[in-house]
Amino acid sequence: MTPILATDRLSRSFGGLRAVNEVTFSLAPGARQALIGPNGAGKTTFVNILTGVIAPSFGSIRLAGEDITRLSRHQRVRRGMVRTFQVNQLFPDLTPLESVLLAIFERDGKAANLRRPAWREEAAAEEAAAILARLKLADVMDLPTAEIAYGKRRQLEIAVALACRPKLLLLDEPAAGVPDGERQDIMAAIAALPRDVAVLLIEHDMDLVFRFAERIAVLVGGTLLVEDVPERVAADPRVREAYLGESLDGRAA
Amino acid sequence: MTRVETGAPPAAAPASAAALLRERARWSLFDLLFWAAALAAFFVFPLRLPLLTEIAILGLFALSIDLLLGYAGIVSLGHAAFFGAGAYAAGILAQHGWGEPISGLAAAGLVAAALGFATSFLVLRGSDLTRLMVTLGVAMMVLEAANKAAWLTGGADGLNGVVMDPVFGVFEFDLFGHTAYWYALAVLFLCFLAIRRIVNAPFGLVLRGIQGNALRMSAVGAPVNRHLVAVYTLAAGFAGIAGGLLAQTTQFVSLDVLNFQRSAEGLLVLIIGGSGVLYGGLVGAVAFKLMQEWLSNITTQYWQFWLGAALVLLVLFARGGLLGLARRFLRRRPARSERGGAA
Ligand SMILES: Nc1ncnc2c1ncn2[C@@H]1O[C@H](COP(=O)(O)OP(=O)(O)OP(=O)(O)O)[C@@H](O)[C@H]1O
Ligand SMILES: [Mg+2]
Repeated sequence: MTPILATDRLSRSFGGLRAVNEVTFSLAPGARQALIGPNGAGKTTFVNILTGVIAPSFGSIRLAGEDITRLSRHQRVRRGMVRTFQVNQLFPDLTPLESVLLAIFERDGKAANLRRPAWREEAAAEEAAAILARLKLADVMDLPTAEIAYGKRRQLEIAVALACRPKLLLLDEPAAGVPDGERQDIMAAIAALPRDVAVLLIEHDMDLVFRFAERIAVLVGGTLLVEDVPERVAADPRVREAYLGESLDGRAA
Repeated sequence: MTRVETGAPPAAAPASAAALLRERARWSLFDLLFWAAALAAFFVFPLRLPLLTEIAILGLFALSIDLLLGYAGIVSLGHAAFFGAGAYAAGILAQHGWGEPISGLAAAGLVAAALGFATSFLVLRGSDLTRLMVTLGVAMMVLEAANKAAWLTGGADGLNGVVMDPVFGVFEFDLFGHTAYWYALAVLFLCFLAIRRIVNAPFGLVLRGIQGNALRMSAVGAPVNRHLVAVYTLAAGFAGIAGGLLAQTTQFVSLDVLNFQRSAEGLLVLIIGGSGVLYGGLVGAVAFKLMQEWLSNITTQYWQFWLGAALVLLVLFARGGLLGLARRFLRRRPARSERGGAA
């Protein structure tokens, strides 16, 4: 089967720093994979290259077999690769409802419509409300995003991404900074994604990683160290070394 | 985990999502009052119609900047280029015997939109500062081009011999400015309706999204550059219609229509009124022109000083302009509305 994502020696340097170094990586359709690694390992940079936010210095990216290395950001999204951001990238003045609706309009090619009132798009509005409800945002969907709680904004990050109807979802520390209770909500929402959506989860909380992932990739210093099933990754001495004694047996680091 | 699919979420029950959106797009009492006042002004101030016409034109110009700045968040110091292009287009057409005003105005809008489209590619990249400089530079080039092309524009002498046909072939442009006022007001209202429709359509969400976070826009699959070209072209077109109105109602065009002062004034008016709320440019135009009138009456020499002072105060202490002030004032009075209760 063609992998949904395949990178070939993908690299990016910042000055002398090789933030991502010859990463050759692939992901099967419907994968549940985690990408872990210490701070500064290059995980976010990797996602930024994949999504076209920064250009690679070297290497190529294939999405479902198609070379997308040179495509613009929105073209990659149109082809099904969608991400969330480690640091919230939301629309502060829009309401959650409007934010999700905006993503739906772009997805459905209705965004350039100058004439039909947005509220007439009832199916889109209902879909947006359903996505928001799934992420427990129904009660704040009509408030400006800037006014809702941080944990809710984290949920909105995911809601907006889901509205794009991804085939491959790249989640960059979706639960970072979120209190425990809501963390469970976020993980539940991720676990409830349709099985045909491939998910790459970047996360520091090993508890979450080991519960979610069917495979784990470890990035250290820009280099892909291992990529394997969780048990073998946890047992790998190099991984243990990279984490300098942090426990990888399922307790949070 | 399946809890979600069962019963509807309790908090969403009172209003459907579409109804919430619709609520924001409703006509309000304010709309009615504003346009009724604009109509009434015709009867109340029959001797001040030229001033009122100027206000309508300035309001339309500021409204076109609002589409750009207030919605899409694109700063421009050169919007006069499009106002001027429209003014010259309408003026030159009429000078050459095409005096029919409505088609002339359409031509003004199209010429300005074409110029906007052609120069939109320059504002796609870069920060606010580069955009300010690029728009300023483009406007300077257009001004100088108009100055040099004196055979067409009349150069520094201005464009004379603009003769307008009656509106609909019936209503002559009269000396008192009766026709001019209601013509300008009608055009303003129609353009307002069009822009209101645009900002309430999906494209309006797109514009606010681009202003809010262009990075996220691209991450939801939005062709941000294409959207920017579209809004820049549209805003240029509406500015061109405003310029065309000025040419037609004054039957004269001078290089002033293209100068920096004009761009700055449009921006000023929008900020005074409040950007991103449609009426900001209109309310700002009324306030600006009245303030200018009033101040220049009581102190013929120093009115600009006081105008400047008022502007500084407004910007520092009344974010959101006059409309922002009014909204905050009104919100404080009645008990907190249903929106406050959600938090
Ligand atoms: N735009 C940039 N310019 C220069 N250096 C950068 C840039 N972006 C990232 N880096 C550097 O590249 C390295 C990898 O950073 P990156 O953010 O990808 O790490 P990460 O694995 O996501 O870390 P974390 O777990 O803390 O989020 C870091 O040393 C960082 O300082
Ligand atoms: Mg990171």
